[in-house]
Amino acid sequence: MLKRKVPASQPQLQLFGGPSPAIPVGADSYAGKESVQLTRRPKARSLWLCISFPELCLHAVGSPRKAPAAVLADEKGGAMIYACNAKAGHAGVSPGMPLNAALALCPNLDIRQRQEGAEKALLHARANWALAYTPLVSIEPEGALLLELSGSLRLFGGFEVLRKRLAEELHGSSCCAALASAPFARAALWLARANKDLHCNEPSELIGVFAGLPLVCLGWPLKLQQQLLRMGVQTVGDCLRLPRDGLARRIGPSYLHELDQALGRRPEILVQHRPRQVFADSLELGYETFIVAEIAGALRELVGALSVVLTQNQVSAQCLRIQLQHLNQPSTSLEVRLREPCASANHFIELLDLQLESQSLIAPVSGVSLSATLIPDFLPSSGDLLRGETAVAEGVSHDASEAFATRFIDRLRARVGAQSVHGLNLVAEHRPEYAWEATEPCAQTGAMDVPGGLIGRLRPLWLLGQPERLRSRDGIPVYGGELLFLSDAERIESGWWDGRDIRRDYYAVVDRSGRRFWVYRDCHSDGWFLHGFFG
Amino acid sequence: MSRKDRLQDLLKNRHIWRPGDLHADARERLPSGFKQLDQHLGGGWSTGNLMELLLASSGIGELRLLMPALAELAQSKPAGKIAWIAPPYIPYAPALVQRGLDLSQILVIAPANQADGLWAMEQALRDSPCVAAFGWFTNIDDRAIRRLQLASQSSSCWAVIFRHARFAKSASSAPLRIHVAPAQSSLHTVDLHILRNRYGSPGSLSVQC
Repeated sequence: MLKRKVPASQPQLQLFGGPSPAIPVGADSYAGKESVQLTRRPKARSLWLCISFPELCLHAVGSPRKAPAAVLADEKGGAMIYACNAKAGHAGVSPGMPLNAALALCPNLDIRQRQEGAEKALLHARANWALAYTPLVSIEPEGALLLELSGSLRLFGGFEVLRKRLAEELHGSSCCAALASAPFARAALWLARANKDLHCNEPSELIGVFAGLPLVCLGWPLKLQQQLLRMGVQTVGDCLRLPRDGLARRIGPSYLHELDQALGRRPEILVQHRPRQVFADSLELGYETFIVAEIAGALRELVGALSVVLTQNQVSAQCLRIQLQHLNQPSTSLEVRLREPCASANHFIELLDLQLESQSLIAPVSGVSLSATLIPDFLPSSGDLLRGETAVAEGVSHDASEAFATRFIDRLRARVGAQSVHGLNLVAEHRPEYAWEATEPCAQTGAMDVPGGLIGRLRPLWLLGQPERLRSRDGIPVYGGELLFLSDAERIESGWWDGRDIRRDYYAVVDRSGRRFWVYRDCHSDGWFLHGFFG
Repeated sequence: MSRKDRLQDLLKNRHIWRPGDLHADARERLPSGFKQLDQHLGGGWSTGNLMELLLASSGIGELRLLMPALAELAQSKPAGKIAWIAPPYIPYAPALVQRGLDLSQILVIAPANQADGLWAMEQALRDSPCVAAFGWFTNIDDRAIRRLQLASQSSSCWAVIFRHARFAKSASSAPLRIHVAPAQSSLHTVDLHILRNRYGSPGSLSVQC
């Protein structure tokens, strides 16, 4: 499924419905401009399919299909019918009607309260389903999905085949859906609202199709529709025939822009639907337990659900946050952080087990929850054509050993803590304590050159984190016994600019037992300090 | 089967060794960089076995003793990791580079307690990307050493633990135990007392490092 890969860098891709520049509001009427616009059209034409769900709010609350049903919404004057199905429509019920009037017309009406959250969730689920056919899916708040299909036609065998497949799948999942297609997103949306299975993939034919489209399809406010009807405007075609400047004055420029967008004369910005970016799930145990194996079992179930989501969406996760819930206490948080994004359930489970082992429970656990941010998967790196086969094979084995090391480090960190595992790196710095740093393991540059300043000056293998003050006798340091100087002073003077100014004379010294030290005399305080062992 | 044949069969078992039986050891050797020491050890540090270095205090030359072999590991491909578990001080990166080590191999693990340290050592010795694992354990008993020895036998990792010299007389399962002390006579010399050597001969020697 190559088509599903989306560039990961853009969180929201802006989709432009049409390529043409905007037309000033005061331009001439629509019909005359058509031929001019056609010549400007680029060759790669987009194809928008709109799937509208007219009974979405009924589905969301689980209304019966075979009996008259309606959904209520609280308006200013009280409970009003928000939507109803065809059966209720036959009985004379219509949206906007007060509840009492509807019940008078149809006494056996199934009435439920509208649930916007459930509608949104349902629409999101269907958008996720649509991602299987194209990466460019946008959700219209009024219960419709817009799919850009021009990139998917070849893969699925042409528009007709794809349209039939989509319609069949929608029918199979028993959603009541209306399909329509057009070269521009807004046009497709309007055609879908007509619920007549209109497919117009030629921009030149759009005006003709719009001619018979009732004003309801525009989705404009009821008041505006009534105003237009009073003006004698009954269809979208009538609307387009009016002079632009007059229409703009009467209905406002924003609606004129919508007309422009439907005809592809003005770009339209849509928000791309992204698959879930966060996974969150929880599991109630139903009883309280201290037994780690039972808690691990519940977590395993959650990780299993996570891995299904990861595979389906071709994403990975890097950090799992786990909450162990207790009855009368704040919950315990655990975190599993990986060095690299991963989609393997087994690896997560292994690390979770390690964390649980080292975790001491403050109270019995009654439930667990898991959340993770999903990361769009990176594309696997492809081999180089010009490199030989052996080079490719070496590269593969190198990658494999890197992955092996990464997993090993993840395992260590899960048990001993993330800060307790690190690598080493050089820093170009004269002050000995700052000449090294702890880095992410495996992130080192691996430079093996000795820094220029250190040639001929041997450094100690062990460095003390904090220099240890030495007693001195007659200006000579003492550590257990007399110390013997092995080298001349090495003056290190640096750092006046950042407030950690040092001025020290370093010496290699040896004690009576033969142990060698790295000591310095601080020129500011004239004290002696031990800074390392030559190991 | 005669009694003699049965004895021969028994002696073929890899887990039975007789002192001085060098041929029984088919394990890989890592040249220590010191000719005299290599002769004692039968070719070099033996990997896939636990080695115990006993010292009165850290910093007396125990790291210098290991540096040539570590520099050798930096040259080999593919470069595995070298785990430093619970080191007593900071392994100083500029000095390691001066000795020819590859810093990208080094992994420092500073566990909060000895149990975690021993666990990390065992992980490094079992199936892991480590070619060498060094552990500093102040208070380790023979049970833990036996565990580490068993773990090290399953891999080809060079395993070294550092213990205090007062444990020289106590029981230990490590096949190689060496007491390290700085030499009184000369500055760059370390005196080694090989207390136990399964695949070579015990004895004392001094190496220049």
